[in-house]
Amino acid sequence: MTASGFGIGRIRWNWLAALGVLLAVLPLAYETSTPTLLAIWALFALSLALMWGYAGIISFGHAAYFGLGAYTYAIASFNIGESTVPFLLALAVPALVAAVIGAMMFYGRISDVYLGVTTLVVTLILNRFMNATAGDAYRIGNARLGGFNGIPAFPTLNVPGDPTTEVYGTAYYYVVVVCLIAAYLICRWILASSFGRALIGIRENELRMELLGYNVPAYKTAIFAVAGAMAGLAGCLFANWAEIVTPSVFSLGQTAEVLIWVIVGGLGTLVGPMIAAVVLGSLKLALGHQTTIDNSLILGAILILVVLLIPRGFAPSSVAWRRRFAQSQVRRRQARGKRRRRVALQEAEP
Amino acid sequence: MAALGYNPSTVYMLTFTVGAALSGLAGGVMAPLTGLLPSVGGAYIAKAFITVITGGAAVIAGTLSTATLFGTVDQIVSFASTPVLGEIAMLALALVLLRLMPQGVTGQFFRNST
Repeated sequence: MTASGFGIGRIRWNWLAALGVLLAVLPLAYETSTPTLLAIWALFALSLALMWGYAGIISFGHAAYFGLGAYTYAIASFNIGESTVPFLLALAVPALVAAVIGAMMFYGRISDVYLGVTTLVVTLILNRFMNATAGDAYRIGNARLGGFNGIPAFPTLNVPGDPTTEVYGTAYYYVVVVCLIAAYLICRWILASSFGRALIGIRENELRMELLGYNVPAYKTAIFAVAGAMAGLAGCLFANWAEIVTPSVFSLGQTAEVLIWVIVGGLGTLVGPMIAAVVLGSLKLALGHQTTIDNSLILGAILILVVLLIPRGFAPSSVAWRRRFAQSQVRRRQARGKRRRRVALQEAEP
Repeated sequence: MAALGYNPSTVYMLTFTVGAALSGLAGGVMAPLTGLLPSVGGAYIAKAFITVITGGAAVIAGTLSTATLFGTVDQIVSFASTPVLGEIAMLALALVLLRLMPQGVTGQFFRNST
């Protein structure tokens, strides 16, 4: 890692390049709709992984920003038509809301489980409100909020500056993948900067950072807003994928799901939660295709097993396994060497 | 506590059992009042969680005070306008209470109660 605070730290560029090539050629072999959705979920998981895993801010209501991104895009694209400004708004509005709520919480010294409840309450308020916005009275400009049924048929993403050329299918898949990789690199850049190191310091010992002279609430508010913007981006991409926005984006299920991805993937890593989102997400989709057994039953069982067997999550545990395997290899090699030396000695002594 | 001769695992297990039994009792009492669905519990998870946490460290005094407060506000606003607004008012109240008392209601009042 560079000490100056610039650069993006130690990245396995060869792995990233291999993954990039794989994702780039995937549309040749497979349909793109499902991978697009999985990449969106991975981006959503990444936003929580950054905030929870590195700054130690637990949120039971991360779906709020996901949903805000989706709704902002839908409402703005109805009113503006061309999709560039709505896309940017879908980043800015959740970031702004997150900054306000974050400032309220962190300057008010709300922490731990109280933080979780506060974020949960915000999500619930949005969910209840959006569910109740049926009818003509609730409209923002040209967009009817639509209550439980949501907002359908808004203009989807188009090539910037050209509203007639819509981005969909394989092209949209590439847009989502580029967003995901860019978001990952931005996360790495944040974590390698002095700002990111201060965040990790806060996670480890908040009081110490405070006494060292860091403005802890400001740092936490900032990362909360960044994570909010990223979740908003995921929400906006999801809205464009689904081509409808319903209040279920604010649901407890959505919130629980992203928490589960981060826990299963491993707290304190970025890659783990993304992998978990893809694996568990595709599992959920695959189980949805069959009717012999209820899919939440299987997913629940898997989660309980994961928590019991690999409590630290997949990514940290896999690193530990690899290290243990490497150590056992070394030990075996040493033992073999010792044996060989003993045999050689015995042969040397007549 | 382990050093004092208590077995923390046993204590946790017993507490969890009693908690589950109590929520079962609550469900049983509630069943005649509301409809029964396999997912009926889901509606109350968030509310119960919010009530307990806003109550703070003293379980009985805290939960009692916040449950009374939230229930009253919810019902009054529901009666005056719509049930949705009632619930939103209740949640907003929880938000304000947590902001004013970051350690829950019993972090501020009833400090020596249980």
